[in-house]
Amino acid sequence: MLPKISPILEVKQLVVSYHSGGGNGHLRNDTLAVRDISFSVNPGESLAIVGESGSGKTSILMAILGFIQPAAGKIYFMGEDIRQLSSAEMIELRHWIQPVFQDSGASLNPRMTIGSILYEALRVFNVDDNRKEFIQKLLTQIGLEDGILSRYSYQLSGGQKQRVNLARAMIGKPKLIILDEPFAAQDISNQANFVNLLLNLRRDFNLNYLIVSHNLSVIAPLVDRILVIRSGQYVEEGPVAEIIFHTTNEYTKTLIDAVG
Amino acid sequence: MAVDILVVKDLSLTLNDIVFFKDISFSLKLGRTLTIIGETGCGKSLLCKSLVGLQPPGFKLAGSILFYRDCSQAVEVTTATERTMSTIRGSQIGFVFQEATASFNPLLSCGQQILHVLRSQNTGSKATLKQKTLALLEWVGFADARRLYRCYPHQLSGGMAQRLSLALALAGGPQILIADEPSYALDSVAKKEYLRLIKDLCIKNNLSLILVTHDIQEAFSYSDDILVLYAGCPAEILNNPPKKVIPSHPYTQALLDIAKAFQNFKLPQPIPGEAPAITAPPQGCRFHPRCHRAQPICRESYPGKRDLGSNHFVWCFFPNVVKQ
Repeated sequence: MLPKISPILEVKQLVVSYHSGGGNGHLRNDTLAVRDISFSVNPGESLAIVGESGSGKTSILMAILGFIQPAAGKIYFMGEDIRQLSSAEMIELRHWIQPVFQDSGASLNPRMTIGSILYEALRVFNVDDNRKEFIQKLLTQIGLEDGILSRYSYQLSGGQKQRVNLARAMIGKPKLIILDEPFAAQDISNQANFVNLLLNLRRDFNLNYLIVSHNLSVIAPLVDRILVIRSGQYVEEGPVAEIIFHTTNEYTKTLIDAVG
Repeated sequence: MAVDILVVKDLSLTLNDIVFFKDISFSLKLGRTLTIIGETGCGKSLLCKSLVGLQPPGFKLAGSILFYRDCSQAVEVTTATERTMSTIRGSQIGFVFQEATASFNPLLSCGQQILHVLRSQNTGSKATLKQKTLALLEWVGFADARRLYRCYPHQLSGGMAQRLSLALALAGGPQILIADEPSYALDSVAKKEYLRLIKDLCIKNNLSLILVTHDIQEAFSYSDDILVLYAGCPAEILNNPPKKVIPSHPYTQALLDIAKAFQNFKLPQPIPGEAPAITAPPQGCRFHPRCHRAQPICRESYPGKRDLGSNHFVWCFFPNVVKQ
């Protein structure tokens, strides 16, 4: 019998709801954004969560990162129940689990140079290596030039901002990188560059990705499995080839047809 | 033979020594679709704005843009007064902006936004204009137009906002619709539906469409003519491209290869490097630092327009001239 692999990330029956109204005598209105979603990411594996806008994809990521409290369900990261962690333990956990947000420009402080942004992350993550060497090596791996360190975010192109965000996420030497719609604001040639970059980094650093996207075609070469959700509910999950070429689900077929 | 409605000749936009775009020539015919494709920052949006005289203040627009009002009376946009242009914008040339939500007045309901445009164009009774507004909302695919009439822009999803923005652009009854990356913020499913809607409405109303996109597959599926821009310069013009087109410019070819790889769920071969900043373009052909066909001449001189026949033009010293 094969030994059981313990997953890096395990999400069990996750429920996320948002409240609105409730003031001035109005009825309180609860919207269920995520309903009973379960999945796991095993070591060496990457997973994509796919669905249309408003299907609850980002809410799942926010719950995993601890930015919102889920209404129900469990989230285990390397065996630890993250909902039971203290805030100090949560900070420690963020070394291993790093997000790259959808709006790459809004994630960079406009008053700081790219150099200060990256050195700040080095301080936060207590990286002991020779800092200058570390940053230079990282920039080469990400495909950015040294000159970028003295520039501000507004002086960068969309593709460069995205790479800086990825570089910052890589500083803590994470196990899992969470990417929220990484290709949404990019043109097709930048998408091609970024997919290749992510794939090389995954291979060189043994990274796991959890990617949220509405675009099946771009994420297909990048992940091992796909989870399809619709209106916060599970539709289907399976290996990439299985989902793309052999699905019988009508909704998944609609997503695939939208590619052509 | 369709008549010309917009004829652009040797158009360029400069600010001091910075050239934002140059050498742009094309003609748009009545009821046809021209797609402008290129990477982010290649000057697509500036070109569209310049077509209606909305280039940023201080920028120098040279060349000629002839707009044939009602297919007869020619207006030269580059020299027209602001007064003339304000009668053209909205009523003759409609605009769908990239960021739909930013083009609405947040204090007006969706219905009032459209009424506002209709009132400036028509003199009709209040009831007639309201009926027209509801009809426009139905046109762009809102099943419950009456409910939407009362909604405010912040209550709309991305896809609904795009459709409202289309209704606003159509409210003036234009002859030309300019859609600047209209599907930018939409997911793949909504994007496909929205583009189909624009195309259908243009066919139904015999509107000419200028569609701006960075998606080459989208360009080939939705247009009659294609203008490929790279760093502010034309790379290739394809008129009436056949279904299975073979582009001649290495840039167009690379974009098409990437799009095909993605369509087949395969890993694409990226174009090496990044597009140059418009403020510091390379000498010679602007694409040469990223081009696998580049030779010394590409570094030294700017390639002129080459006619490949069948209304196919390319700006390249070494174009692929294999024809289907």
